[in-house]
Amino acid sequence: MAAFDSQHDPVRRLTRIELIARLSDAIGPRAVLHRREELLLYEYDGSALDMAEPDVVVVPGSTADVATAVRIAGEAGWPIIARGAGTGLSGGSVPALGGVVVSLARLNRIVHIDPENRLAVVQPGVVNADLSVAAAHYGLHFAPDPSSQKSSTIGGNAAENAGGPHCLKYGVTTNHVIAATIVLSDGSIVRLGSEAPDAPGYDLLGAFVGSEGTLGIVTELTVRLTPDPEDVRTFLAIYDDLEPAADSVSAIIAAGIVPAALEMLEGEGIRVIEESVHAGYPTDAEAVLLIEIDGLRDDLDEQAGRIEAICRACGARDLHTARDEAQRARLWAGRKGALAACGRIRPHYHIQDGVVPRSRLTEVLRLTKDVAARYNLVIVNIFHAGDGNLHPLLLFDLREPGVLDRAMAAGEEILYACVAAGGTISGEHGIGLEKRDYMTWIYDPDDICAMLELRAAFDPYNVMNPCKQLPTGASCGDVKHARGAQRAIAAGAWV
Amino acid sequence: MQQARPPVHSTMTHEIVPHTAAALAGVLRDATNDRRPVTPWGAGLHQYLGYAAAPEALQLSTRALNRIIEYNPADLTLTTEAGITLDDVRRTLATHRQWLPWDPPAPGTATIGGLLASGAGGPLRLGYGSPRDWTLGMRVALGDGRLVKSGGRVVKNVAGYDLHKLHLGALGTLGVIVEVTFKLAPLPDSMTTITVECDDLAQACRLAAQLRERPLAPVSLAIVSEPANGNAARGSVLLAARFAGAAGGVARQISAALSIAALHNLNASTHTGDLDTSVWRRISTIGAPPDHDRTLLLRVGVPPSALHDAMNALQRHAPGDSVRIAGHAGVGLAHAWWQEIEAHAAMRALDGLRASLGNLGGYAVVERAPEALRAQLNLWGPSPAALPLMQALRQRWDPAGILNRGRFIV
Ligand SMILES: Cc1cc2nc3c(=O)[nH]c(=O)nc-3n(C[C@H](O)[C@H](O)[C@H](O)COP(=O)(O)OP(=O)(O)OC[C@H]3O[C@@H](n4cnc5c(N)ncnc54)[C@H](O)[C@@H]3O)c2cc1C
Repeated sequence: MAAFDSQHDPVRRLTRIELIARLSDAIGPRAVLHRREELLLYEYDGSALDMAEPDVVVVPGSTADVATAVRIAGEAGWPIIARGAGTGLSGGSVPALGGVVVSLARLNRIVHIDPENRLAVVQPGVVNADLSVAAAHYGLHFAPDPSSQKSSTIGGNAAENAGGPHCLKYGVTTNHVIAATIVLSDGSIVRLGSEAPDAPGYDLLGAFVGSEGTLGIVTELTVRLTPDPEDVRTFLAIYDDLEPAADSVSAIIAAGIVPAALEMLEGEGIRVIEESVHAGYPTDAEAVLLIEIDGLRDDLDEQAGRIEAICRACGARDLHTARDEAQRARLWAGRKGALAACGRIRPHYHIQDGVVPRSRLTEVLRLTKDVAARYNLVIVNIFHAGDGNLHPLLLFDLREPGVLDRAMAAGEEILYACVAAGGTISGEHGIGLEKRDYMTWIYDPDDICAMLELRAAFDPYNVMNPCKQLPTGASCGDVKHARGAQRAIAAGAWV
Repeated sequence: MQQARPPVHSTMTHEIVPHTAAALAGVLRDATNDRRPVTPWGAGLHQYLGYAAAPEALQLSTRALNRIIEYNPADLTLTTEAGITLDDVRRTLATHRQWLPWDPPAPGTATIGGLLASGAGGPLRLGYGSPRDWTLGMRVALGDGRLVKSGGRVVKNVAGYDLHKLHLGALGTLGVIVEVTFKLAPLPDSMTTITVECDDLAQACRLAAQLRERPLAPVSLAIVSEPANGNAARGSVLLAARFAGAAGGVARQISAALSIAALHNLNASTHTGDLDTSVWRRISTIGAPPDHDRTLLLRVGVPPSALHDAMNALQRHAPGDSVRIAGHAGVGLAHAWWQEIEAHAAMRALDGLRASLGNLGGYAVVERAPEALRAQLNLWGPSPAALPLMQALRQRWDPAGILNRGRFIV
């Protein structure tokens, strides 16, 4: 049976020089980058944990050119790695075995917006937020709102099945992609999904979304657009302790209320955010919940009342409601500025991404405190609480010897606790290189084998983004474990 | 460890009723070795789908796999075995004022696994999406007897491929669903429906479009066209719009919807409580099997904006003149009955319909046909572009091709 070692580094039938020549002939020399300084940019993604140099980067300008480049590389046995904006946090676009990086940066057109069917046809390199800006004219928006939405691409969102604060109510990327054009490793072009719902056959599109570039390269997507809500309310619930805040999240969900967004910030994070962003968070609070509800004007008062009652019953000290759009924007600016602000606590970070049942939040959060103490690290939790999607932010200073290993071990312990509580190892950042060895915590060899078989059906050449997502054999050890962590926290970045 | 009880052989010659997922998987493993075809069997309600099963096929029943495994109301999640009926699940969830917002026909008898495998949906699709949006994970016995899982029990999860989506609407040709985890929704406080008698299809479609304009957000929006019968001089077209949510918002939407109908000088009636439920049960029956054997049940899918054209095409190409259609506005699905037909007329009509729908970006599937016609018609329509990928996958998971052999498009 095809076991874990079915992925091996394919035999290369062209030299690098020949490959570059063929690619340049086929799609034009300007779309082919191969000088050392041109390749440097493509060595890492947003996690900066693992780095590897590509042999060539192609920047095709059409589906046909993507297909041509992929066919040339695939037939010659060179690995093929799709790349959007490179904001991924699990090493997905890092060329682990070298090979050809296919950048979708030039495929960045919104092809059309169809307000009647509430959908848009876009190229994969369109930046997430740009689509919502273009759709705003029709009272529509693209619901998946990853915190990286001002830079990450819709192709990358689909490949990672990205989430975001408002996915609690509106669903993650997979719920919003209805058709896609895919280039397979033999250079063939295939259409998955359809604007007509439930066409007969297998839902291959459902398996493709979230496949991290391992099944094929998407060159066009048809996505759903969501009507803007009539009205929105945003509040900040303030707590003197972490536990009543976590209890409130569980209690709101248990009461059958699904807000549009339900985010938590805690600990030292609140103080540094307030210092740098002036969002209006009380600096003496131990935890705050940023809660947003939306929908029909008529329903919001009653829902707001229920949420307030629950928060107070769980021990909230106070509850502030944003009085106008400006206040609402400030409350969100605090959430969005969190990552950058935390740079004031320690200069380097590692973001973990795990999920627990919402009813188990309190105990797992308590554990993060315990882990922080035992490993002598600062851990701040700023996360999508309503989904049970934790993002413990491990903060440290790399000048301290051995600190990175400690941080990685601490992150692993928290992740393991998520799994032990009935949860999973990634809610939105993906498996990539970072977590493929944790896959066996949640899946048996047979489960993983079935996934490898899906992969083999799409990619018999075994060249699409090797070493990613599924546990692999020894040949995937070439990656330089740079473990550099983020050298500087980008201003305006938020998770 | 669960003790593997020997499978029960019931009175029907080929029926096997395993009591554990492992036993069910074992049956498939043996059948693969013997290359014996297998018909996965829930309640048997949708067995009319696709071409006839091979006569020597084993009927592999999930009916003894009917336990709820874990219901976590505080997390709005449920894990259940696949042989349980939808109504049994609903009853459990209702005790916590929760539900799976999914209203396929015959929830009292149909099993969860059978409904998922046959891709059965209902009018709530407009407001709540399809079961695909509510399914978090699955355990499946693949054709060769491997028992595999994908997804998980939490509401957000990107670990590995979403293999479970592949089994939705696959008619059990990749594996037998034995266990499913769903995300749940709180029951809405209030549900109310208005029905409007329209002059014709065009008017109903225009009205439907207006009923979706902000702030209106119906959770179901059906257009039902019935043929003239008995003493009614001409056919009727009914529009039904259902609103759900907190009482205030529902009341406002209903009154806005009534004013829109009044602008068209149309009579509208409001239905609440049991009457609301029964409107939708009646509409659902159009997607359920008719009981006499001269009817073709069709499912049509088009981009939502093409629904009117698709319903017209269903009427225009109908071989007889008695056509019933339930179209779902905003979704782009319709079920229709064509009645009183013979083979050649049916084939011609179907070709004509498919040509029209092809121009609209749509398709037609024959869900049920009279026994004599079933083998002669192209039930599934033209092959999808990705058929080779589908076949390559099936080859790996059901290598002997035992699952519903010859019945599906793949
Ligand atoms: C500050 C910050 C905040 C973030 N917040 C969130 C968040 O809230 N939620 C969330 O889900 N993620 C978040 N992320 C992670 C990241 O932004 C998402 O995973 C995003 O979807 C990646 O998009 P990208 O265009 O940058 O893709 P890349 O990083 O370039 O690629 C990601 C993966 O997708 C594949 N890929 C890219 N394009 C294609 C294509 N066209 N076809 C096939 N495969 C392709 C790549 O091979 C790779 O495996 C955050 C990242 C940062 C740096």
